[in-house]
Amino acid sequence: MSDEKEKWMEEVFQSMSGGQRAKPRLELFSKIENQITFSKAKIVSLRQWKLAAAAAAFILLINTATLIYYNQSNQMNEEEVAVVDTYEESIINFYQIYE
Amino acid sequence: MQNDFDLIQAISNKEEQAFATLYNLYSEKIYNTALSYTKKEEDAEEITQNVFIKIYKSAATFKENSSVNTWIYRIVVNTSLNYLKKKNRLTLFKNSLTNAQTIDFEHPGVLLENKENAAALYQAMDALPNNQKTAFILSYIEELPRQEVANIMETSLKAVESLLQRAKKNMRSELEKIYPHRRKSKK
Repeated sequence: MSDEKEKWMEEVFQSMSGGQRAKPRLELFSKIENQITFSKAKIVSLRQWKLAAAAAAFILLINTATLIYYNQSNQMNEEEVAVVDTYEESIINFYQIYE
Repeated sequence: MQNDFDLIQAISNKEEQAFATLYNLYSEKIYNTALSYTKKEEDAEEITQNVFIKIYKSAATFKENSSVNTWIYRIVVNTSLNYLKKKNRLTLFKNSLTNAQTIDFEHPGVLLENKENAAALYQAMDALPNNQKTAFILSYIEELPRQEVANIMETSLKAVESLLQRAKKNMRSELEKIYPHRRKSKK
C-alpha cells in the first residue's frame, strides 16, 4: 500500500518528462510585432500631453495678463493727457485775464 | 548563422529579422514556463507577449555576464510572478478561481498516459511558495540543469538543491491528500 503510494508519487514527479512543450498560437507573433511597431512610433504619453497643455495655458495666461495690463496703462495715459490738456487750457485762460 | 548574443545585439539595433529568429528559438520555452505558473493559456500568452516586449526594449542593456538563455528565463520568471501577484490582487474570488483552475488544468504537451499524474503534479505545485515553485518548474518541467537554475535564480547550486528538497517534501504532503481521490477515480 505504502509502496504503491510512493511509486505513484515518483510517477507524478516524473509525469512531465518526455512530454512536448506547449506551443503558443500562431497569431501571437504578429500580435507582439504590432505592439513593437506601435512602440517604435513616437508615442506622446499622457504626462507629456498634460505638460504641454500646462505650458500652453501658462503662456496664454501671461499673454492675456500682458494685454490687459497694456490696455489699462494706455487708458491711464489717455486720462493723464486729458488732465494735462485741461491744465494747460486753464493756464492759458489765466494769462488771458491780464490782456 | 547568428548566435544568441549576436541576435540580442541585432535586436538592440531594431533588426526585425533577428527578433523573429529569437522568437522562433525561445517562444515555446517562454510560453511553456509561463503556462506552468499560470495554468491558463491566455495568461501564458500575455506573459509571453510581455516578455518579448521587454526583451525588445532592454536588448541594448543586456550584459554578457550571463547567457542569453539565463537572461530570458530570468525575465520569464519575474514577469510570471509579477503577473500572478497583480492578478491575485485584482481577483476578488481568488481562492475559488484558483481551485477551479487547478483541478481543470491539463498541460497540452503532456503524454496521454501521464495526463492524470501531471494534473496532480500541478495541483500539488500550488501549495509551494514562489522560490520553491520556480526551482521546481525550471528543474522538473523545463528540465534545466541545476547550475542553470541557480544562475537564473541568482543563487547557489546548494540553495537550489535545498529548495527542491523542500518543494518535494511539501508536494508530497499535498499528494498524500490527493492520493485517496486518485484511487477512487481509478476504480
